[in-house]
Amino acid sequence: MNSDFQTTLWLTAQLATITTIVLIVIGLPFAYGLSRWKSPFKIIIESLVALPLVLPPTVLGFYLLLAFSPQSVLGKWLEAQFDLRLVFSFTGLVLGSVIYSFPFMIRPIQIGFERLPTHLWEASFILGKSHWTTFWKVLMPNIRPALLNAIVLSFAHTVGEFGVILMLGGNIPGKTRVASIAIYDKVEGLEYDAAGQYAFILLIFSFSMLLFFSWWSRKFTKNGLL
Amino acid sequence: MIQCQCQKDLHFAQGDYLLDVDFSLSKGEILALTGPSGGGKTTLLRLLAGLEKPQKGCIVSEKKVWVDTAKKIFVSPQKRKVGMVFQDYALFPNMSVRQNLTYGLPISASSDIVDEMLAILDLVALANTKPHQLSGGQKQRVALGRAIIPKPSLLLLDEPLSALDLSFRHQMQTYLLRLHEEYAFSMIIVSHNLQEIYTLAQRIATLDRGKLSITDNNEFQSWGTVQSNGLVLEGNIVKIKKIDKKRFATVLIGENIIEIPFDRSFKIGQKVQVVFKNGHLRIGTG
Repeated sequence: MNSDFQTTLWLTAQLATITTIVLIVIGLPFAYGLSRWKSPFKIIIESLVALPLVLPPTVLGFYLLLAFSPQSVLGKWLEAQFDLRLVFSFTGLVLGSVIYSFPFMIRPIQIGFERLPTHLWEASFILGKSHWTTFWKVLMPNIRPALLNAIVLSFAHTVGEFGVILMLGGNIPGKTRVASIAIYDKVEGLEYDAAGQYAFILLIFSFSMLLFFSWWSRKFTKNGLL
Repeated sequence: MIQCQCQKDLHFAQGDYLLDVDFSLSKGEILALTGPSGGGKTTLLRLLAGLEKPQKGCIVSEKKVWVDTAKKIFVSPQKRKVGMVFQDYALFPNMSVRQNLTYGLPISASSDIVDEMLAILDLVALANTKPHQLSGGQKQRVALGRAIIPKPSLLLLDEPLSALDLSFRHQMQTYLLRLHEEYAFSMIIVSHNLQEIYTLAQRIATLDRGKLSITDNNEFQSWGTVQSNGLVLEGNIVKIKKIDKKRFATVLIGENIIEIPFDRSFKIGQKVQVVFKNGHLRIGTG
C-alpha cells in the first residue's frame, strides 16, 4: 500500500470519527428535546432535520459552498473573526458531514426516547430522582440499541459521502480527498486497480459495520432492553 | 391525613367531563378506588402523585401543601413522598431486581431495608435477575417493594393485581397487608375485585364520570346467611342447560358461579336462593 492510499483512508476514518463524535454531542440533547417537545411546529423542525435524507447531496453541497465561500457574508465574517475558511478545508468537510448525516443520528435516538414507556420516567420522578439522574440512569441505558444504530448509521454514511464533499472540499490529497472521492478520481484516471482497492475496503467495512450492528442488537433484545 | 379537593377536565372517548373530588384520607387508612373505566381513577392517582396538575384545587398532606392552584403552589413528584405501583409495573429493564429496589433509596441511606424487602417479598433468590426474566407475580412484588423502600406516606396502586391469577392475587394481598402493618403508610388501591376490596380496604370510593362517592366497607352486601334451613346464598340464574335429560342451572353468586341440577321451572335472569344443607344443594325462590 502506498502512502497516498494510507493517507486517504486515514483521512476518511478521521472525518467519520470526528463527525460522529460531534453528532453524538449535538444529537443527544437535540433528539431528547425533540422527543419531549409537544408543539404544532414540531413537524416543521422534523422535516428540516430529515431534509438531507431526500435532498441531492450536490444541492446541499452547492448551498454550503455558497454560504461558506469567502465572498459570502458568512464566509467573510468567519474569516475576519476566526481566521476560518471552510471551503476546501477539513473543518468545512466536518461541518458539511455533520449537516448531511444529522438525520441519521437524530431519528433513531428520537424514536428510541419516544418508544420508552412514559411510566419509566414517571416512576423515576416519584422515586425522588431528578431529570438529570433519570436521563443518565434510566433513559440512556434503555435506548442503547437506538444509540448504537444512530452511531453506526452516521459513521457509515459519512464514510460513503460523496456529493457534499466534492462540492465543498474538492479533491485535495491529504486534506479533503477521502476514499469515496479517491475511487472517482482513480476511475477518471483509468487506474482501476487502485479504485478497486478503495472500493473493496469500503465494501468490507460497510458489511462489517452492519453485521456488528445486527449482532449487537440481537444481544440487547435478548437482554430485554428495548 | 391527606386532604384532596381538585377539579380537572377529563377527555375520554365516552365524552368530556369534569373530575370533581373532595375527600380526605386518614393516616394509615386503606381506601379502595373503584368505578367504571374512564371514570377518572388513574387521573386522580396521578394528581396525588404530582404527575398531573389540577385546573383548580388543593392537596394537603400532613399540613404540607402539595398543590394550591390559588397560590400557584405545586410540589413536584420528587418531593411528595408518594409511592406508586403502575399497572404495567414500570420496572427499569436495565437494572436487576436489587438495583430496581435500591434506586429509590437516598445515597446516604443504609441498604439494610433492601435486604429486608427482598426477604419479606421472597425475592432473595432473584436479587440479580433482570425484569424480563421475571413472571408477572414476581414483577409485581419488585414494583411494590420499590415503591415502599423510600418509606412513602402515601402509596398509590393502579390496578396492580388485575393481571395476576387468583392464587398470586391472594399472595400479593397478604404481602401488601404485611407491608402496610410494618410501614404504616396510607394507601389508595384501584380495584374492581370485590374480594380484594373487602380484604384490604376500610372505605370504598366509587368514581363515576368524575364524581366521587365514598362508603364504609361494612356497607358491603352479604351474599349469604346461615338460617334454620341451612346456608342460604342469594344469586341469579345466568344459564340453563340440559345433559342426559337432566337440567342444570348456572347460578351467579357474587362473583362466583355454581352449577346446580334442578327439576322445577326457572328462567334465565331469575333471582333465586341456593340452599346448602346436609351435603345437598338445591335452588329455591325463597
